[in-house]
Amino acid sequence: MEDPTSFELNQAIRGWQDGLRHSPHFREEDLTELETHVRDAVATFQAKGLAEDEAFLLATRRLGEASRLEPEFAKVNRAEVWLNRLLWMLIGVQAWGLLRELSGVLSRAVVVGGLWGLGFHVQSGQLRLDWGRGVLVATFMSLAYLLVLAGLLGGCWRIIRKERDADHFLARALRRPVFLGVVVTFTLLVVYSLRGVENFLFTRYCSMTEFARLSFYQMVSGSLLTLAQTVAFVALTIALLRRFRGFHGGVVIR
Amino acid sequence: MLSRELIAASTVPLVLSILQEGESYGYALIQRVQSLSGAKIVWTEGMLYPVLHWMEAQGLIKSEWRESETGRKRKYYRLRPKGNQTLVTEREHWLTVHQTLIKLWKTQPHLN
Repeated sequence: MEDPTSFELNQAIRGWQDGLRHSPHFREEDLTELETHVRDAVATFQAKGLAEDEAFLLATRRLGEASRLEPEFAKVNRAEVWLNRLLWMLIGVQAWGLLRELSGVLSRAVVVGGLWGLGFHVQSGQLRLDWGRGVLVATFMSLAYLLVLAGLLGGCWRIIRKERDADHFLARALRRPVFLGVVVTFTLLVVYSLRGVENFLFTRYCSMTEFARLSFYQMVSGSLLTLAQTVAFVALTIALLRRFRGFHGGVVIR
Repeated sequence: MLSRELIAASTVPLVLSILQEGESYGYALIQRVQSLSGAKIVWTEGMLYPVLHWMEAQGLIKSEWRESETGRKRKYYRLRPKGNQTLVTEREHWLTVHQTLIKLWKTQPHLN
């Protein structure tokens, strides 16, 4: 069982690190090195008779205010900071692409699966899509797409919310952008492969006419959805900007 | 208390000199400087790390993450050949300044 006193120190160190983490100029490696320093200092002050909380306060004070440390770390970490920013941009672009692709593949799977379940067998040529049915299919496809996209965006929002909890596995992933980037890229490749499989199944089992009709309704649905996606994207950007409005110069204003 | 400029200028030779005695880590370097200077040289402790990282980028020292006696990861620094050469140069420069000042003060003992 963990010693409750030691747990408090760990919490305090994590809180202090999170304050620094909001600045892009500290690398994770720097934060680990500074943490070791604080722990060493706390141990020294405790050996001199200070209480743990006093020792922690003194240790962090002697280490220096974030606003003083930040410009110094910024000088030596300039290249890493820009690479890190580029990496996050790349992850952002890929994550958005992933959400779009995944929503598309899943919604088409739901709609085509549903049609199949209702007895519209594309292979036997029973899938006769007139305008009425076409609009219905496009609507279902749009709804399914929006539902999936909303679910995925909800998941992303959860990541952003949970990022405050330093122990959450999503927060840990966010502290490791290279790992996150690899996961996003790999998942995107898997989803692209799924799309490839989907295209193969369509071309294999649909007649040219049915395929053309499905593609047409999908395009109608896609045009409506591009608008919805843009709105969602703008809303997400605004939400993120609002979230980071409390930060100034990379230092948290409390 | 020494001026900020003097502290900044002396950081690299101090670090190089301590590392010449053997490998060390940030907190121990700070403790050693404080102890040697009779607490007259007081660094803003966190400021040492960017200097160490800069020195590493310049090829003067190299670092290695290892497990400390407490079981936690700790970054140890040691001197590289270029650091040794720089230390020789730094030593010459600081001794020149020191000897010049000593000579001046010996000839002008009542300088105010």
